[in-house]
Amino acid sequence: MKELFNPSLMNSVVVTDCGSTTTKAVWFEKTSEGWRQTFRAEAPTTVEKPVADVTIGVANSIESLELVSGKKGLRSETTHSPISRKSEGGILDHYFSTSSAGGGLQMVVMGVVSQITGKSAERAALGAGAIVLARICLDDEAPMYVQAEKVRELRPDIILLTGGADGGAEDQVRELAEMLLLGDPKPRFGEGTKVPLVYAGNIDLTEELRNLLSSTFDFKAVSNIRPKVDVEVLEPARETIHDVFLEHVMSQAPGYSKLTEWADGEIMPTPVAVSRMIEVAAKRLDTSIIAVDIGGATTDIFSIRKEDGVFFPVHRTVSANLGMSYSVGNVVELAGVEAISRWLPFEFPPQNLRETLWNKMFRPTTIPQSLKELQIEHAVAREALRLSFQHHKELSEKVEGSREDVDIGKMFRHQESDEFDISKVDFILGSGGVLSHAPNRASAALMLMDSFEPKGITFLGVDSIFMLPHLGVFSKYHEEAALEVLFSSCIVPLGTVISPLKVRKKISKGEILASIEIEGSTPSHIQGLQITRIPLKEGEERDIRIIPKRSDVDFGAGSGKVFEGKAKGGEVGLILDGRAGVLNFASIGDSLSSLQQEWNRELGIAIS
Amino acid sequence: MYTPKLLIHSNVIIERERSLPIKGKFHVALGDSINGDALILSTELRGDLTIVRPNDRFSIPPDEALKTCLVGVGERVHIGSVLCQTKGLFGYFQESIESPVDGCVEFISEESSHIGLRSDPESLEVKAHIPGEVISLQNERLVVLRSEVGVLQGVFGRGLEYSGVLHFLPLSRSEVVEQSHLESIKENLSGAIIAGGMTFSKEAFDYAVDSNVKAIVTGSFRSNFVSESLGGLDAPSDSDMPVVLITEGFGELALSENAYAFLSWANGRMASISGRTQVRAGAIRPELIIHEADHSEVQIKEEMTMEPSIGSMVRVVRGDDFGMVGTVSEIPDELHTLESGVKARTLKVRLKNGSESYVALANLEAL
Repeated sequence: MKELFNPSLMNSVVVTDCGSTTTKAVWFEKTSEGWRQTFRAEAPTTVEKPVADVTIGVANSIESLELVSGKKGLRSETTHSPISRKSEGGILDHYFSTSSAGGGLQMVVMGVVSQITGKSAERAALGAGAIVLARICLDDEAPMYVQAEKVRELRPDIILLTGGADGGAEDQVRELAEMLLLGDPKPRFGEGTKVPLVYAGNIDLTEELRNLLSSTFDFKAVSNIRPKVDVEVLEPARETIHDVFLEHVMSQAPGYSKLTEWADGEIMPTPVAVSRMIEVAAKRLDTSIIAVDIGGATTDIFSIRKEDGVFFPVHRTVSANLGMSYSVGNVVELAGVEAISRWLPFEFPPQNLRETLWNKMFRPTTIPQSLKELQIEHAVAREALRLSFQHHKELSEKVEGSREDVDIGKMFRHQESDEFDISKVDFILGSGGVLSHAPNRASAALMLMDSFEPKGITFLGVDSIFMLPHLGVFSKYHEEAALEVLFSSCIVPLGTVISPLKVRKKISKGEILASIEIEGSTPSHIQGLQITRIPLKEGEERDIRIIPKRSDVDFGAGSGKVFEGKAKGGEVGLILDGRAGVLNFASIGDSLSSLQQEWNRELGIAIS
Repeated sequence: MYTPKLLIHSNVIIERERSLPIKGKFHVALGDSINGDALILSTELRGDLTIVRPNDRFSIPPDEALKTCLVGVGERVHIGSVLCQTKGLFGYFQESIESPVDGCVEFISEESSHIGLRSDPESLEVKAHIPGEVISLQNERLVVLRSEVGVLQGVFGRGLEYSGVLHFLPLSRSEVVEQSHLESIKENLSGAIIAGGMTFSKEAFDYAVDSNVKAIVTGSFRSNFVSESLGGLDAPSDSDMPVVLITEGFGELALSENAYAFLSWANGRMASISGRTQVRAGAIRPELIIHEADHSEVQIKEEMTMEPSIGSMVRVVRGDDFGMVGTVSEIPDELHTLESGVKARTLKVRLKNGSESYVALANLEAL
């Protein structure tokens, strides 16, 4: 089918993303300046009752696209499809689509030991674009009947069962299988059908489990995701989950079989599309990237690391309980009001803060009217992002390749070398309303800085309207065009932040940690507990030289050593951050809100 | 669009689904007019499966553990029945495993020796909860009722369902309900739904619980109260606690004029309350339903939505002016920049206190 997608013949493509609440249609066209996103429109997603047909929402979004653009010919006059291709007398070359409607792919993963097969199963599911409803392991505290009840209530689309290295644990895996029979879950869609179960554990048990479980589940076996205790092989499980999702789950979801007929190529799950675009961008920029999408209910983080010249696969986590409206109550619960209030440039009683955020949770469509409310939302966004990033780091630990000497203890010992190294990330991209639509771009930059604590030299950007899913599926068929749109229409560059990797001793406010020589500009300083903003416009790039003034300060070349790099401009410019992470906040005490005021003012952010 | 409105009206046509988790039996027929306490559905829930592992308990291989088994598949057992027993040594040092449940032996695994015990089934009944007409019977598990009732939806609730007589406390909208207010009507408290006031003091709430009040409807709760007295925002419903429903939100938020008028009208009437609240994936609001509608009021349907118009009444549901009622004086075409810096569609609202301001449409409820 590849010959159908000839990039050189493409000039006009529409892509829809069917989200849980909104279906967004985006039009990509080849203009005299290159590929651009020319128009966009949206309509409510219609996968839930009473409409229960995703194609209605798609058709409505295409109709809106015609209205917004003032152009006719997107929709076919002769067929029921809203998409009219040039081959049918219309104006489009292709139509593609992604989807996370109906909550996307929802999975339960099961393993014997939570830190080994449990985590690997979760990584496999997340990599396949799923939301993991629960990770159930034998070393969980809850008794079996409670776990079985959970499986029954959650109604997953697919269950991933793992456990035991090949030739290893057997009874424990059998116990997990018995738990599944106890739970006897029913599918979310497709009443009367069996829930698909992907088995990716000890191969010695495959046939026994097939006999035991096939009458209750749609059983599929793939190679073990942990064939040896210290080896992880996720791809076969990921691919099978993806195939089962398309074949079984999506086909049962209301209207998807018709959408599949309308679209060219497969309907790509939204997170898979986003992962794809991030990977494409990282390889083009030759840089490590973290991308975050913070929504009302969930926060997705994608990261791709480059080490020793090699790109690792995109790692994705979904914090399905952390968000800005529906899930904001969870953020308050997990982070605590004290953690949220430390980001406020004013005093606000903890009980009132909690009530403000709870009221937002129960009236999720309301928006911040006053400056104070906006600052409260930005404060809670920081904690949602910090917690989500912590979750992301916990799941991104490296599993070593095959070794002869197996060290079980290493699985359970935390080692600094295993930790996600933020200093190796060159680009942080933020998306989601609170970041993309912050009234002041500097607010978005500061939120990213406070949440991820970038180290060294890091470029910051926001996605203007979240078209990463659209670009991701488009990149499968025309990578160059997708990249052109990404850099011209999608990413809003904020600028570069410079902060020390390590500061071993306490720092005082105003103390000069390093001097910065900026090509073509007056030298500046990074000062303790201060932020300095230097104008540097989008498109501008400067060589910089960082000269530590203390022997314990490291910017990436070693303690006390000069570091050279480049700074790229953006809407905020160059930001010198001498706060050395929030660890110092604990020692700041009562003067924290006045410091927050100072940092906000330096960046031109209005404060109440 | 306005923020989705909470329905408060004394004469509404509603449709409600009543259902079982699995298939069962209907006790009503299409077209039946029924009361709130009518039984409409029933079924039996399969008992839980309990696994007993003699190989683990006796620390012997499965094939030996199988030999200790004294029961067979299909056999009925009771709590304390001996399922397995080792031979011991010359009749001494025997070990045995007793059944932890009443039920039936469902399987004995030849491979693992594990014994599956299925507990006795549980009966499950569903009542109507509200009066109405049966308009649909589906899939042997779902009944749809159509009712003409009074409805008050809240922001947050806790607890399941209850039906009883509502007693309205004759306090002002912004008054805190104290224990003394409840003591003055103590003969009416047991089994009642008590409504009124801006919030309940902790003492009043504890007194209500001790007096067997079954449900409380008020304007708001402080968050500390929710954490200390209700177990937190996400705590599961507790059948020993009253069902609660707040109409405005969290903090010290006075009852709205609409809610006050509704509850005043509902005093002494039969009501059903549900505290169930869900914010995502199809919002479910806690609601108070008055069994008999006020036919002197214009009847509305539940799905009616409103578009902004000059002169229409609105209420602010966010920010410092929360709860303030006003009239729409202007509908700007262009987006307006709020104090927060956010650009949004707004309405110019003349508030009851005389002031006029641009309020985000998303922060207004149509009245």
